[in-house]
Amino acid sequence: MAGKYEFSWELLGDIGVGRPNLGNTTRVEVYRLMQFTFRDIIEKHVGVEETDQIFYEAGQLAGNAFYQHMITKTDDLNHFVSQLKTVLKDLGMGILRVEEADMEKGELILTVSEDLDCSGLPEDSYEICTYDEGFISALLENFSGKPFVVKEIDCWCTGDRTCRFHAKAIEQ
Amino acid sequence: MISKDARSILEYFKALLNDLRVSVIPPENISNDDSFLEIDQTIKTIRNSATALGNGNLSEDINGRGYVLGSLKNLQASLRNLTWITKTIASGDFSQRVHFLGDFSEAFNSMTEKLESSIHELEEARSHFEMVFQTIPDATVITKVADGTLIAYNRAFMEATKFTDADLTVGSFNIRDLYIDESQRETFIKTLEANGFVENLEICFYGKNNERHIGLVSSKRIIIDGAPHALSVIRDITQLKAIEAKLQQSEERHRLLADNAADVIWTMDLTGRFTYISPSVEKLRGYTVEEVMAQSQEEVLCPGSLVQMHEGLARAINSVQNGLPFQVYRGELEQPCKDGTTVWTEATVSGIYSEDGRFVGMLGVTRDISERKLMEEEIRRLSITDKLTQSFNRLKLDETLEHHNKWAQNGSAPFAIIILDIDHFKLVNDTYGHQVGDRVLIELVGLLYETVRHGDVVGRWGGEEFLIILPDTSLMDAARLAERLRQAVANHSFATAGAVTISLGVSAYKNDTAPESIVSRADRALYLAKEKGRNRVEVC
Repeated sequence: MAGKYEFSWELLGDIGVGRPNLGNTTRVEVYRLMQFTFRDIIEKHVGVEETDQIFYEAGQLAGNAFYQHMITKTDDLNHFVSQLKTVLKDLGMGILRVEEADMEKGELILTVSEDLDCSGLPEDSYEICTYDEGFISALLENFSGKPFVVKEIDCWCTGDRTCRFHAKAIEQ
Repeated sequence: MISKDARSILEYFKALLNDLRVSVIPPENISNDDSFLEIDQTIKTIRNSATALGNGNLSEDINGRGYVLGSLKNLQASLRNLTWITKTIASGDFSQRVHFLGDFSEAFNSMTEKLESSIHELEEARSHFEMVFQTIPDATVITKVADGTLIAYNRAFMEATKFTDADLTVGSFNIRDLYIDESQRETFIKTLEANGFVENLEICFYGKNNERHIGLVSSKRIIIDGAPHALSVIRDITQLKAIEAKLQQSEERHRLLADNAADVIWTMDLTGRFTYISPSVEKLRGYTVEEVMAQSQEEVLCPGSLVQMHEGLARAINSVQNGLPFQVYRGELEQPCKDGTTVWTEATVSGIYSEDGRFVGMLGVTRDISERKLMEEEIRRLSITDKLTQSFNRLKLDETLEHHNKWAQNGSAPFAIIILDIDHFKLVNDTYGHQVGDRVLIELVGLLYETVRHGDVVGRWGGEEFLIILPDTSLMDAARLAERLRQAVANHSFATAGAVTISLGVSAYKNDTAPESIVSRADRALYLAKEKGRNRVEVC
């Protein structure tokens, strides 16, 4: 079914022109305000699991576009990680750290500290970074050419000081 | 005040936090309390995690929630990430940076940058070494000292030996196989181990097609991966050696020629010192080469010849100093021999010049001309000797007369002459034949020589007529000698012919302008003696 709104990078607009005084920054609360209100309403409409799936897929869509526009294509994992770390830091999205990476096995453990979504959130009993999971899986798929499933195993919301993700390539 | 149970719980947690081995037991009445169990589990997880992290074990699963455990997980994540970053740096990727650990981030990133810079410098140095290694014009190799395995080689080595890259598969090619003489490698290794270097050691080695090379090896002992290696530069001197051998052969041939030549070949500097002299000098003069080399100029040449030598040297020095061509000298020199005699030699001396035209010395060839001298002497003797009587001939008499007349004219000693003729010699010839006549002439000359003084000149003036020149003699003394001659002949019995007499005419120098005058007077005296009955002396 054709959607009303189909995302493309161009839809982010010309921020320089549109925000000549405020510029290309805003406060993290604004981002979270939008995300968590979305999540609340969507959960009410489709339930928790469906919402998680929506956020995961939205993260993947964002990750694909982000990779295409912000990352220089490379076959070298180190180069890829290095670029990603820099751009995530420069955009204020989080501090990426690789704990383990075995591309032959297709397994990685990554952490993102000071991330946009959950750092500083009140402690709860569930991981919340499903958007990030989708985002990371898309980045890894774009880099490696293989689909990845990414699962958050530690989260600020579960009392941790960083968000830890386990990524595994899906055997095709 | 707190209760006893509360104190027990505190003691337990205190032990859990502080003690290596926890011997305190929590109160039984609280051991099933959920809150107690949660705190107990958290503290135990903190203990285990802290111990694991402290021991460097980053794979410990930190289970649980909460701020402290979260912080430990964060620390573990940081350490794991540092491990990963360090591995990537070790693999040569210096783009990784740490941004989340405060001062440590700056120190780590600074270390990474320094490491990258150092690696870059090392790489540049390696690249520079590689370039230098490859562009060294001489064959250069790096080999393992232990077994001779070839580690590296340059193009010059390939060009010299004709081996290709495929032949020289590094790691399997052994330089030891190229040695023609294994003992040379042993010497090389021994020297390298003893001194740490080898300088210009001559070795012989094979090329690809078993062609033989001669090289001068200079090596330095270097350490690669903890094992001793040799960095060797090999200067191929095969062609040089071939040229050297040819030169040596040529020099040996020339030396052989010089050593075995009958002539004496020598070289001399401008001070008159021999720099080389061939052994044939011993045959010429009886002195060995060593003796001659040590002799002074006075010992090498007789005084008359020494003067010639000094003049020749002066001319040579003048030519060299003024850049004039060396004029070849040729002359006869008399040299003293070891046995006290002298030998006449003919010397030819020319200049020796280097390739750049610089005068470097003189080359002389000395030839024994004794036989020639004897021959010349014989020719000279024959030219002035009467063939039959072996007395002087008319030529010698004319020369001598001319000589004495000039001397006398100059005021030197006067002289006298005697002309004598055999009386009735025709009768002897007619009676006994010419052979007997000739015999009489010979015997007569013998008698004359027996009677005259040393220095008097006796010669055949013609036919049976003889002339005797008496240097430094007065007319009276000459007359007395003439009389003695007459008596000696008269008293002698000639073979076959028996008694023979002679008539003699005597004259002495009287300010004669030409020798004909004195001869004419003696002739007149002889004529007078004949007139007066023969067998007598007359003076005029």
